[in-house]
Amino acid sequence: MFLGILVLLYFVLTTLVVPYMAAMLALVVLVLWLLARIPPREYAPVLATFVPLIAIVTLMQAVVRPAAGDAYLARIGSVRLSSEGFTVGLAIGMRLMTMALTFAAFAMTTNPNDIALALTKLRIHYRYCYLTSFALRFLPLVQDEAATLLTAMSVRGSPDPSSSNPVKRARAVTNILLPLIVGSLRRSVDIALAMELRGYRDDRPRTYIRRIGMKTEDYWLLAGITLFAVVSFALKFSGVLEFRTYG
Amino acid sequence: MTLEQAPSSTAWLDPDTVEPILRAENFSFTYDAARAPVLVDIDLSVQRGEFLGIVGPTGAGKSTLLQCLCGVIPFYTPGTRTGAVFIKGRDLADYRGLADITNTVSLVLQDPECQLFNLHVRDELAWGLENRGVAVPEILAAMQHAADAFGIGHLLDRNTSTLSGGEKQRVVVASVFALRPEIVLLDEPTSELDPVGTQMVFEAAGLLAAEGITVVMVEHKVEELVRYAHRLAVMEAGRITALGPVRDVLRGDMTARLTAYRPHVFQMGLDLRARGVAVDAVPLSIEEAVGMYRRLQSVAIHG
Repeated sequence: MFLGILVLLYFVLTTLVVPYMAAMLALVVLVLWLLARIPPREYAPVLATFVPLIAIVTLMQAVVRPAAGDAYLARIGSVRLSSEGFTVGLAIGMRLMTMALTFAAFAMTTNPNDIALALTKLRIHYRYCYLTSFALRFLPLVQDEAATLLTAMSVRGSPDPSSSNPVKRARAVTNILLPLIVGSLRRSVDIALAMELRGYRDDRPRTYIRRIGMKTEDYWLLAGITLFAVVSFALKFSGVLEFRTYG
Repeated sequence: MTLEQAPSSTAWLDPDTVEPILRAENFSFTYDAARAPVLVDIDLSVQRGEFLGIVGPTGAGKSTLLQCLCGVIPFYTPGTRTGAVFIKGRDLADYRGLADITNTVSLVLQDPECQLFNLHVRDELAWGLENRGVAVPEILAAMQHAADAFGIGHLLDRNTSTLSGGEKQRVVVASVFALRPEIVLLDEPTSELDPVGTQMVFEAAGLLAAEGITVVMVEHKVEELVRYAHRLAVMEAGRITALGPVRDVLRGDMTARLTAYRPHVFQMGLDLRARGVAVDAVPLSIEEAVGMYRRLQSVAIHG
């Protein structure tokens, strides 16, 4: 999975060709569907949140990027929209969406304990490997605490966090930051104590009941990554695909 | 295990016959930042296999006492101590650190969220044993035994954040049990739970005692606690003001603040007796109260 993400990120960040980006996005969706059995409708709402961002980026690029030969798509007063800008903006937006989906795919398909185990195999100390699953375990707790604080503050006259006014929403969130951080720090002391009480120590070897190894889906994924990388490099060095990060 | 099912051998009730598994001797403690001691002249012996309940108002020092009995104080929380605490006859001061003590004594805290460190219940049961470097077959056997003993086999593949409060605390107790400590201290484990969750945790504590583990439980829910405890200790202002078999303690002299700790049925029995009703055994539970009522009814009918 790590390898797949690295390869995908390399090509996503070094090209701005819209059909290629669309193909990569479609590839990630297909891999999730076929190998991990996660249909698009499960994460479509999350992807939909990127649509406004993509629209803004596309519009900005269309406005600021000059058109070759002064041929613009449209003119609204002094504002001119170029097709090159539109294309680059769309490519950047799709880049963002592809990266987000790739990281989300990783989170959806990988047990954090397996991540920790994989890292221990790389001889990284368990204290660091465990951080990943530990963070995921306590993230819902922080979310619940934040929700409770927002509700408690709003009933006492603080700005409504569900307000349509973005300034009020921002103020509401800012108001809970300090109590959230202080509460999390206090809780961390209790958690550390509880961990020691359950025998957690840095200085002695531990055993692992989980075993990780390659499964059929992993081999298919590895083959797919290899094929993708070969095809992409071929397209790059043959000049069919223009590789640039920006500009 | 309820009081009615207490072991027939009462050797553990006599501190002179058997070395206590846990003992505090003239023990006092003051936190570093505090001006007054939190614990004053604590003398307490807990026998192996006993279920000791500790009650008292907020600020009486109950949680501090538990922390002193399991080594959190002084190895984790500093302060000034006088007197001694012995675990299996060995002075706490002779232990190298908290990690050495946790092999024998475990502490269950109030908030179950702070005591679940893994995404899934199965990993949670194994985590403590993995920390100790126990061999995998032994871990799997211990996990299975704990899951069976606490009836959480159906929760093994569940995400810990989706469990109810009672289920979470039950999983915590099962995870502690998997480590096979000889003593388990529970610090108000039901304080954040609803009645269903409370019952789950008390049953879990009862299961610990049924497995021969010494249990010391601080609780405010005395109605439930007296169903399981062999002895009761009452704390007030850092001192143990009463200690003994449950009925003896509840019947004894109590300050006005502490009478609130008497179970309602027990207080009812005392009040009936004070009004001349022939109550033979003051009931501790609804079941005992029903038995008492039936006996009174039988006497009234048949004379």
